Amino acid sequence: MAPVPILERVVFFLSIAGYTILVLKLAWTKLFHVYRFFFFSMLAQLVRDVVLLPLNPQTEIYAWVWMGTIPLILALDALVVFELYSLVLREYPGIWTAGRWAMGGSIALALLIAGLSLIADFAAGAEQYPVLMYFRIGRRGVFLSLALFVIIMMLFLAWYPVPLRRNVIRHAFIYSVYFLATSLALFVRNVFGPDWTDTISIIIIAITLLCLAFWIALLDRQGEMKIDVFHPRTDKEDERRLLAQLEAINTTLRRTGSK
Amino acid sequence: MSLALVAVLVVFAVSVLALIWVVRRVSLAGRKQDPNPDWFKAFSVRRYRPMERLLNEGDYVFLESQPGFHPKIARRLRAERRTILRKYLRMLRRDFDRLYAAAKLILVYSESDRPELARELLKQRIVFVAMMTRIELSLAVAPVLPLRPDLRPLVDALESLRLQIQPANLPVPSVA
Repeated sequence: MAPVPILERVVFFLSIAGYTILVLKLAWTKLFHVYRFFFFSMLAQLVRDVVLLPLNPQTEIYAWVWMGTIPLILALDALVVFELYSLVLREYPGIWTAGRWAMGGSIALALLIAGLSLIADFAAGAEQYPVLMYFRIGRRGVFLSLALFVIIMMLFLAWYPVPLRRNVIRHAFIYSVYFLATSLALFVRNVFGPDWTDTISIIIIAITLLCLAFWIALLDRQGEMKIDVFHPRTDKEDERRLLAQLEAINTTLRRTGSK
Repeated sequence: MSLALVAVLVVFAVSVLALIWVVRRVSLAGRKQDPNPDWFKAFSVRRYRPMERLLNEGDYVFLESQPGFHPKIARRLRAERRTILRKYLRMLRRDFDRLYAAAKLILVYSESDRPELARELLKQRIVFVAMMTRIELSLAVAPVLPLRPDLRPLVDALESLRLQIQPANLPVPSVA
């Protein structure tokens, strides 16, 4: 068990570097104007990790900082997801209300499934630090709900079908994998007990690191270009169509007149 | 414990594969659609009128009255008609999907919010799937339990969807 904390420290440092690069990239490419909550979420996690860096994980102050920031981070995660779909739905006013129904239904379904899945976590029994256990279970519930919400909304958009920006697709995919993987890792920790704490902690930071690498590599300015195969019929097109019809009538009249 | 861990990993792998499938569908969204206005102008549900006659019992009554009739002949005729009906149903489903895809495109590219159209489309899909399932189940059990499902509402559902689509409202393919 001795090398685990060193490894944990290394991946922790790397994740801080990852957050820093991602925040800088979002600022540099001006993508933070589009994905505001995502930017603030990454910034908040960066600040939190920098504050935690000099602290000993075995101390009470570390636990308080960690627990105190969890609600904010989770709230920002939820806002990131809602922001993502609001951005999509705003571009398609025709399905604005339908999209809101889908969002409402997805939230209800995601909460229901995630809530039911938590029964296994609670059944695992009490631990030495019940507050930490409830925090972990709550976090797992939120992560699974968000993953399910993202997937259900993607299905809704694919069903219509709504063309999406490359960044939105990649962003949604990375976030879903992040939520799912973290949720399953927390599930393992909750069910198999404290012996797994160090291993799961490293796995979660590694997942975060991997997702950060994908965000850094895949989110770019070009990804904001929408690949739209169609566009609404505009007044100009109606005008063109009417002119073509008038032209056809005129041609017929001219031909009739010349006979 | 290791079995439980393997189960967790399997759940994760399956979820990621499902996610990749969803992402692929989203990435291809709209690219396979072909809202050809000429097809919509030419389309008519009249082509499905002969289908409604396929389950007509009158033909069998007539057949029974003929000299040399044997129940085997009627059974064979029923089986052949069921095969033809299944082909009609496949065609009808394809046409419904095409009209439905066009209606969804109109909705997606509409410049104002259309909750009533969204609701109506969802209702039509549910009704159509329910009717289709009922008819297919009737056909599946037909050799042992002869049922005569009414095909008219299916054709009416197709016609009602067609009436909602004005070719002039179809979105225009963007120039690449």
